[in-house]
Amino acid sequence: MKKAWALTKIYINSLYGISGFINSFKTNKKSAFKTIALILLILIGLLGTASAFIIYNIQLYDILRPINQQGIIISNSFIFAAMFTLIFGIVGIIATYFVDKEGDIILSMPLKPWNLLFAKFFTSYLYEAVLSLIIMATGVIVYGVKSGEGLLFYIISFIVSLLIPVIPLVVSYIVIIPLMKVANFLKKKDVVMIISGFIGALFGVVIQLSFQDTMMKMNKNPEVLREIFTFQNGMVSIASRIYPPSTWGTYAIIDISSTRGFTGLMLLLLTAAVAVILLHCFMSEMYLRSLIGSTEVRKSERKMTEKELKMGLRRRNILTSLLLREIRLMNREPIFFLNGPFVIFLIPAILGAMLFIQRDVIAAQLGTILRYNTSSYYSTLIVAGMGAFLGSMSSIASSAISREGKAFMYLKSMPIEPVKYINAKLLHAGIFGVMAGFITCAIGYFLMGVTIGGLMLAFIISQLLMLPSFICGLLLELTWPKLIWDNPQKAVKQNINVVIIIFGGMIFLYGTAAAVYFLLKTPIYGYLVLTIVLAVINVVLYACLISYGRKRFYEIEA
Amino acid sequence: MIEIKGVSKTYGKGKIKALNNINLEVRDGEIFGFLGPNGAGKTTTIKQITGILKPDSGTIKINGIDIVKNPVEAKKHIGFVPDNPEIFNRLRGMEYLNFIGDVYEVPEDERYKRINELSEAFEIRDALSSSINSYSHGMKQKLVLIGALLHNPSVWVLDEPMVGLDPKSAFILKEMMRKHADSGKTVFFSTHVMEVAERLCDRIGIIKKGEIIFVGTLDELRHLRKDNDSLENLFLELIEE
Ligand SMILES: Nc1ncnc2c1ncn2[C@@H]1O[C@H](COP(=O)(O)OP(=O)(O)O)[C@@H](O)[C@H]1O
Ligand SMILES: [Mg+2]
Repeated sequence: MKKAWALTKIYINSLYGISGFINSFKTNKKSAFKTIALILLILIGLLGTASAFIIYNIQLYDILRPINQQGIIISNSFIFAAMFTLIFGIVGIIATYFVDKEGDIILSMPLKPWNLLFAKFFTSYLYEAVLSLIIMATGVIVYGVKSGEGLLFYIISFIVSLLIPVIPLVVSYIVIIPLMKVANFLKKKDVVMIISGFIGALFGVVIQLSFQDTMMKMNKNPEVLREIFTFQNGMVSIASRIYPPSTWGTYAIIDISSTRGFTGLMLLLLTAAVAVILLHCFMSEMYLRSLIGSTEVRKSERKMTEKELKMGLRRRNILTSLLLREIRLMNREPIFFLNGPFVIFLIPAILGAMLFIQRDVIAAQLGTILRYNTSSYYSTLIVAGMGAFLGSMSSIASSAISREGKAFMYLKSMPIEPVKYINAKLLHAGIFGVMAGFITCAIGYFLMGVTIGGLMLAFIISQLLMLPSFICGLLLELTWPKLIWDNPQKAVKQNINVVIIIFGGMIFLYGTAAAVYFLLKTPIYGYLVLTIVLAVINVVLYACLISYGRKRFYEIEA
Repeated sequence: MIEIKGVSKTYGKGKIKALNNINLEVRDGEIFGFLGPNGAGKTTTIKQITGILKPDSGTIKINGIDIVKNPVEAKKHIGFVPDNPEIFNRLRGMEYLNFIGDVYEVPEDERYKRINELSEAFEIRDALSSSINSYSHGMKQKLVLIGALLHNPSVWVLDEPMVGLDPKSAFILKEMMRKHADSGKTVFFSTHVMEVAERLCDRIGIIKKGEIIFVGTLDELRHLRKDNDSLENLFLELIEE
């Protein structure tokens, strides 16, 4: 056990860079100040997103209270938390499966297979636990405050929230370890990593849809309906037919003093413990074997013909060539891809499914906001906002220079115009931004019924809204690139520029939304002012980027 | 031709002094060996010649073009091989070479001719369709070398080029360096092994703790001491003092 913990600490530091944070607090006041500023930024960004959930839960509580079904809020949050931890668990596990060339170093240490698996399991658990706590908090706090619950309620909620990710995480490992074993056997690690990412996302969506399906069938069944309304919080028990732990957890939280509450908690604890033990008993060996030899890559043994060589050597203009290099380097490194462009496909898959499931509730809520004839105005802007949100989540621009790593220095020895280099990076982010725009427009069309005209406007505004986050990301990267790394994880996941842009971008979007809501109430005038203001911001920012980048490019030293 | 005038460089915001007032001239038609122990400042010098680092003070000119004032033009004259071939691991060998060809604006037929020749000579032609991260250290170095020579640059700058190359490739490279210098162009390379310099160079420069302590031909170095010592010992003495 001691060895497992020691390894866990190594992983935690290597993946989250926590000791660096702590050190900066101890030694350097200036960088400690930066850290605090960063944490504040994250909190404000998160609060904005969480507030949407909180408002939703408050309204739900008021609707459900009269029929005594307010427990749904807790079971809803539980299911969301479990679903999110499942999907993020799968993607997160894939992205952190191979750490720091461990195939060679850590495997040579005298560790038992289960030590290795436990260390990795616990490291991914930490991240998931935080995610679960945040999601649960949006429901628990609303319920707790509204029902005037005491301390015990919050303590139990905390414990339950910590238990939620365990089962999804065990499931994720059971799905992924065999996949990685195959990947290792085929020596096609990268391809399998990316494919498993998609499988994970798909898996999550399928689970959500089948959940939705079961709910529908039950609602039509009079037997079930009677059961729901005759018992207090009877609706909660329905969830158990799909995912029993959610009922155990909910009863534990809302009713710990009763038998069903207490047994719920015990059942939850027991299941989590058994799941973890079973995972380590049966999968450790396979996990180890999936790591051995993982640093090998497959070579093509085929000889190259004259013709192939000639075909491969095509002259392109320098901007195209730079752009092509960007796209290849990002998409072929699974860690870059999963943390970057992949997000553009993952988030819509999750949100789309969520919107689909809850479309009646959301339509009702939107209806109250969207009275008068301005409904198309606001739904257009909501689509634009979602597109911009998605585009700025890709991290392509905000990790653009860090991703080069040590090769950046070599790149600097080449006769490349800094302006072209920067434009290629911006274009790369822009291409995926356009994709994000299209995806959200599709969501707007199929789920929200926005008109084609509205979608065209939404598309343009979404591009104007996300462009500042690309440009600011590049400005940050030019100023503080993180070029020294041995694990690509460090250029994206542990890159402060990425974090600043994701949360700064959220704050920018909330700010814009508030400004539009209070200042730009009429459509024509609103579109016009918004477009012009955003266009001016973008032109000014771009001019800054070019004049700064032209000089700064030559000053970057590792 | 490379002209280095009064170049100084510090690292870590002035805390580590790496180079102190370096003056060097590498002429057309010569192979110039840059010798020094580990940490003497060879790589730092080369990084400034190739525009990777900016000198704190002083000027560097490549064929008369200032590398700081006119970087893009100056770099077109250089073919550079870094000491550590850490390059774009996720590209295939051929994609890499094609990218270099685009950056240096090499016409398609010339690109093909040179890649064919050079990859044949260094025996990595069959690996060109594989991803660079499947290459060995030596293969990466050969690939970078081919890339550096692709645009037929007049000034070659090589940082410890012999380390990690197999004997046959090292031999070919030396031949190429000789031929390049004999055709009136410039070769500048660093090494920490006297033996390599002794066989190959027209002139050498010795650097120690960021300062040049000797520049001249090998004969001039021999004349520095009257006794019949080997150059290796002489070199060791010089850097010990
Ligand atoms: N990035 C850097 N940061 C700080 N110091 C450095 C850096 N690179 C080199 N140095 C220091 O500069 C000096 C010269 O290094 P270098 O030019 O690499 O030597 P050489 O190539 O001759 O072995 C050494 O003392 C080295 O420690
Ligand atoms: Mg060196």
